[in-house]
Amino acid sequence: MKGFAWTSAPDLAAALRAGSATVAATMAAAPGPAAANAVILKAGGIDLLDLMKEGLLAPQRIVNLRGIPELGRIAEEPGGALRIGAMVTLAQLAGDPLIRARYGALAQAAGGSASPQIRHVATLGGNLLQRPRCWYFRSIHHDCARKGGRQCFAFMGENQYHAIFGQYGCAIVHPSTAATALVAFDASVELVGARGARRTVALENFLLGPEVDLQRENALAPGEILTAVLLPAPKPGVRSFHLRQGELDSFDWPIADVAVVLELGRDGACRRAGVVLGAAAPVPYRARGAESALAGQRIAEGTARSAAIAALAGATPLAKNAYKVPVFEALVRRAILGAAGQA
Amino acid sequence: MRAPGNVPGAYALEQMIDELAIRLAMDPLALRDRIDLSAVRREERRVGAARFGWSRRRAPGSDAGPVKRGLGMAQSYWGANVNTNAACEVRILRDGSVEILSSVQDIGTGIGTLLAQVVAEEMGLRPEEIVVRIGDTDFPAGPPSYGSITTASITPPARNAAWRALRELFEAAAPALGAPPENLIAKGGRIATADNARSLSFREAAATLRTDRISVVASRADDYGGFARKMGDSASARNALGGVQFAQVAVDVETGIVRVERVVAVQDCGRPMNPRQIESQVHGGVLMGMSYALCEERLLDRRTGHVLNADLEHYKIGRSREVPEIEMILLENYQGTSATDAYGIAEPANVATAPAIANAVFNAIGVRARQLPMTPATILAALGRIPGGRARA
Repeated sequence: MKGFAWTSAPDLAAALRAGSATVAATMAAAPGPAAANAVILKAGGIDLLDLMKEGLLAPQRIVNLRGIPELGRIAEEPGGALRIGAMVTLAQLAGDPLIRARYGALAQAAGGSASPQIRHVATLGGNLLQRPRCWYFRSIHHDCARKGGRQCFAFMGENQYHAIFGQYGCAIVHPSTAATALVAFDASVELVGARGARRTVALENFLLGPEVDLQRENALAPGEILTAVLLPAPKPGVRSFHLRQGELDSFDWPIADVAVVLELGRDGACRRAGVVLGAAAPVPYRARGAESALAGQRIAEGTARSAAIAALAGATPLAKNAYKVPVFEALVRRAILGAAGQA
Repeated sequence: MRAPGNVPGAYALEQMIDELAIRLAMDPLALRDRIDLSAVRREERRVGAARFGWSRRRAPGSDAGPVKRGLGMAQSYWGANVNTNAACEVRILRDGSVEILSSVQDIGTGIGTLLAQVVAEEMGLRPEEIVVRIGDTDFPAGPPSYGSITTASITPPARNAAWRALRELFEAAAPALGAPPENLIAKGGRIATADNARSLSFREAAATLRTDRISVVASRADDYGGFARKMGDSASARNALGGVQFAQVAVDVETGIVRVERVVAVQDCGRPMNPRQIESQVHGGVLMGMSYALCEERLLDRRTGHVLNADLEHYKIGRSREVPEIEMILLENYQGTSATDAYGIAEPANVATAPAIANAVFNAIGVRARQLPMTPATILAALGRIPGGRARA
């Protein structure tokens, strides 16, 4: 690891003045002068430290965001929406009473991530912006498409943990488990630009698949800071559930994770469903087939099973990851029943 | 990795014997009683089956839901191996301190503790009163750290050197105690006459030395052998070590996830020197065996030749939430052919775990995983649940 300068931003204005580059842009520019002079923002630092140790990123200066009080709060907005500061840790998310009560799938997703040690340091903002864990991407020996190379090594290589949907020239899965739940809740992210301009983007649109951009996973602009995640006020009758399955239960990446948000009417019928698959595609994968299969239906074993099959329709598994299809089918069915309180 | 070579072999052999029993419509334990000549393993099967509750074993697929439970067992064989070029020096210094020196190295298995224990027992002292100096090639030759041979190789010369050093101390202290040296004993930190009528503290007895120290070197090569085989410095005692393990697993047939819920490990290692250390070794053996069975795999990219998972993020080993309930039953199996009669435990405790888990998986779901590790991809392929029948290459 190379040496770097370190500053801690006391407030958002100071962080914005730092003139930061995005990690993706810096890596895309490497080994050019833009990369050598890069100022990189640090949240929990989990992924940043990994990238530096892997020899993929060598920032000239690191600006720590953890000391900015306004980014560390969870607050209910007038009208019932929830604003989660980008520096809120996964452990805080998992333990927050309001999130547990209203956005249960998010608390479950955050609480099941990584290890207790990492959850106490990793932030929601950093979690959403972390780079993919694909071992070819993480290897300095593999000049892969996401790093500007010509090929995706996963297509012909070890792809057991890779995507089963949407591998347009790159087969990564999005590494954030929290994002799976957030997309199911129709969350948005708040971004503040270098001149202080705020914009709000639906998370689903903020995250970019390889068909849009092969070298970055999101639409963060240079100098921009992700300041908060916004969750819409829960509608009456909303229930949610998140399930993750790793090969190991402790400290392992999921091979599949599923978030289900059901809006149930008084008659027990499902008015609207959100079904999102994580570790399935380069971005959280919204299973529209499953969502429409559930709309207007009473939730029971049979409806859940049909929706699970619909969720996986059109999957394009690679040579070594077709096993994920039945794993996802089981998880989707169980998560639907879990959300409906029938697990 | 532990017990290199043996675990893959046992994984195949022990599953074949399980399969043979099923083909013969015999209980796997009953078949082994017929074909396994080891009296030690026979007893290990008996006590293990009772503790484990082998009689609760049902036919594959007996559970109604997606999670199927199964019970399995497997056995191990390990030589009672010794390296005879293993020596140590025991010193009694005139200030009453006692030291043991050997170039044996402690790779985390606790041999330093055992050496202190052995010398202390011989000299009537407490283990913490013994200074252990190891891992320096200036000291007498120690055994290499492989094959689970360390304890069997180095503790007998430690006892012999201590015994002989003590005889010299008795010679020196005999006049002060007014008794012939052969009538002296070492007990409770004192050197005493056999009738306990007169005694000196160990320190007072050491002060009678005419020179600054007693120094005795003993080697395993001088110890009485009882070896079945000997080639160069490598030898094996007559009775090999057994080991029988029982495993209970839960297999989710929809996700292919295997979880090990309970392991009963029945092991023997001659005379147990330190049961707590042995239990720790057995836990390590079972945990590494479980990881070997379920998740460990070195992944090489076939096109570029790079290892893809050379880190603890992607190279998977079982962690805290994977740990099953582990019970150890230790069988004391004396051979009477060395001064400590101790043999190895680390690798033997690792051999039977993976095949016991595999046999339990078969008992749970009625299909056999013929490759390692038993990941969801392997299990779902074995169950024929992967669309297009695409299994892991």
